[in-house]
Amino acid sequence: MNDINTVEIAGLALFFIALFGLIARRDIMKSILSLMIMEIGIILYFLGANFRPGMVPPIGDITNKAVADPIPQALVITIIVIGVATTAVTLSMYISMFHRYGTWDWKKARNNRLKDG
Amino acid sequence: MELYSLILAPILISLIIYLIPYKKINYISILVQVGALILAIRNLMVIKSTGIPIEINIGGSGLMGISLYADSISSLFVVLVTWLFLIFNIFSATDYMHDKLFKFLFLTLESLIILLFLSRDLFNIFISIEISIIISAILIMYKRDSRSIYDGLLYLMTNTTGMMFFLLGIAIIYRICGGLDIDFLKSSISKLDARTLVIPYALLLAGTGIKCAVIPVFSWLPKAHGTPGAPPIVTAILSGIYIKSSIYLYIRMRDMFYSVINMDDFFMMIGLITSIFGFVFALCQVDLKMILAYHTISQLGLMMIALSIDTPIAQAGGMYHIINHSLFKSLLALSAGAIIKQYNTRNLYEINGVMKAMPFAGIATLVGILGITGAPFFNGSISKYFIQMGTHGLWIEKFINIINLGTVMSFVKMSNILFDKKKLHPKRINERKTQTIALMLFSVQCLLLGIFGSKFTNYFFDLNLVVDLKLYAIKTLYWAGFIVIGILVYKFVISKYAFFKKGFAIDLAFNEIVVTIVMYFFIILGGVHYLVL
Repeated sequence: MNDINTVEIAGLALFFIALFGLIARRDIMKSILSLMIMEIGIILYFLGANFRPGMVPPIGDITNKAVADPIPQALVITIIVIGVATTAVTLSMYISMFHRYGTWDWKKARNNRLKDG
Repeated sequence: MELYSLILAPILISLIIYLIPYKKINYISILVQVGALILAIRNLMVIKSTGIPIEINIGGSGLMGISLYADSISSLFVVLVTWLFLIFNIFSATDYMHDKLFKFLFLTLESLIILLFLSRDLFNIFISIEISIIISAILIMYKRDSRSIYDGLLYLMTNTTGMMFFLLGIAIIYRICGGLDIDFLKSSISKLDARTLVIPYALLLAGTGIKCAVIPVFSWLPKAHGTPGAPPIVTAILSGIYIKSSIYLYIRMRDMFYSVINMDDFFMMIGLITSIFGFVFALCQVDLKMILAYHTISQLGLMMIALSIDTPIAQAGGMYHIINHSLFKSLLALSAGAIIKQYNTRNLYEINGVMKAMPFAGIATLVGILGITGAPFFNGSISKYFIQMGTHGLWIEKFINIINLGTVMSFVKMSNILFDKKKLHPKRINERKTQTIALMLFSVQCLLLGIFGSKFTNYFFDLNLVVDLKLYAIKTLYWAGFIVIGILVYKFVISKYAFFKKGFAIDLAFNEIVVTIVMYFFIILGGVHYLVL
């Protein structure tokens, strides 16, 4: 872990920014956004893992060249797809909860739930 | 090929059923599940007789490509999954199973859980968990009951946050080791220094811990498993089999890092705290489903204790307890669902005389209670006996009895619904035949697994364990003593004080749950720092 590169640092920074968002923001919409940002941070980190400047993508003529690791790229596509699915379901659930409780605040939503009995 | 069809067949056929507008086609799903069960049993038999695990790779070598791997334990769990889902299908054959969307989600969840048990690389595990979280969240809020939407949303967000931690752990471990296959990782981790692995270890175990609902991060489980709006079979799936997959994940993660980072004492402690808090909260509940949900937490703690001990007998006890718990917890959840539907209330003190009104559901609940408290001849007694044998000589030995006492106390409270204490003489209610069949199948199985318990464990876990009759008799005496203490405590403490009738619980909002997740992550980091480095 000595030669951590800028892409990875950016990814980790995004992860922690999103973690701050999840902890400090009571707005449900912002929580969902934070979750997305968290995922993007991980994707960035994953892509940057083991990457060094000068590496080429593993397409075409790659003789005598350092090639970037193709596996993270294949995995990241799956993460993106799953992330879209999660976001879609969370948003639609949020909409139906908003119709029911009329609030975008986690605490108020919880209090409304308790009142529901 | 069998492994592929086990995973893909339920999804594809449920999709076809969903698309074809012909009503009779609904019953095909039971056939599919019977087929999956036969296939799973056949797999298990092949693996047991040859002794060679089945392995399938897509794309070249197993280390880089996607691979499925079935050894005797994972194929045993696959048999369990297919069997439980078949019975759930029978239980709801006349109501929810007519709903095509529900059936699609139900069968997809089945194949995702099978995928989780069979997959060998971390990324496949992540995918199956993440998709099954989405599907179970939709199933939780299926009826769009007012509370269940909030519960489903909270469940989805909390678990996704947990899985993000897990995913970051995967990314870091990929960066360090250059592979994702669990066997490959295990061998390459053993050559590394513990200091390099601290962060990915803490991230992966934090993600696993959130799925296992251990004590600081348990808050989502009672909401998801005890939400009033969820159909009974969804509750049974979640607390019966789905939660076991996270314990299985814990087994995998522990095994993967075991050669470098050995945190058994730490997780025994976590398991102990979890199970004690679980039954204390269960004692404070008045809601039937909530008692079961908190009790799941308590038993998860017990499993975690057993699986964190490095003796074969404790490991076998833990595994066997997973199987037993999934049987009697499904039984209890299903019968509780049937009872709640008939009585139209979830309050423990308003349900009265189930034994007379619904004899089959009553007997099923009684069998479940006997099983979970560890009554002689029931399956719970054998696995708890093994766990107790396994903890012999360790510091945790004394605490296991406390956990058992707590279990008995909370179920004495729950058994209140069975008898006609108020002398109201309730009328007999007609129970649905499919429900009765499902409940009876589970009850018989609980008894069978109790009577043939040691043979079963010896055959499937390749051990040579004998139940010592003298020790077993002592354990039975303990059980009887616990029942007496439980009844006395119920009579003189729990039924007297209003505190136990309020349904006290710690109810965290989402932001606070995320704080607890971060806390749990740092607790693991600190634990590694003090115990390993």
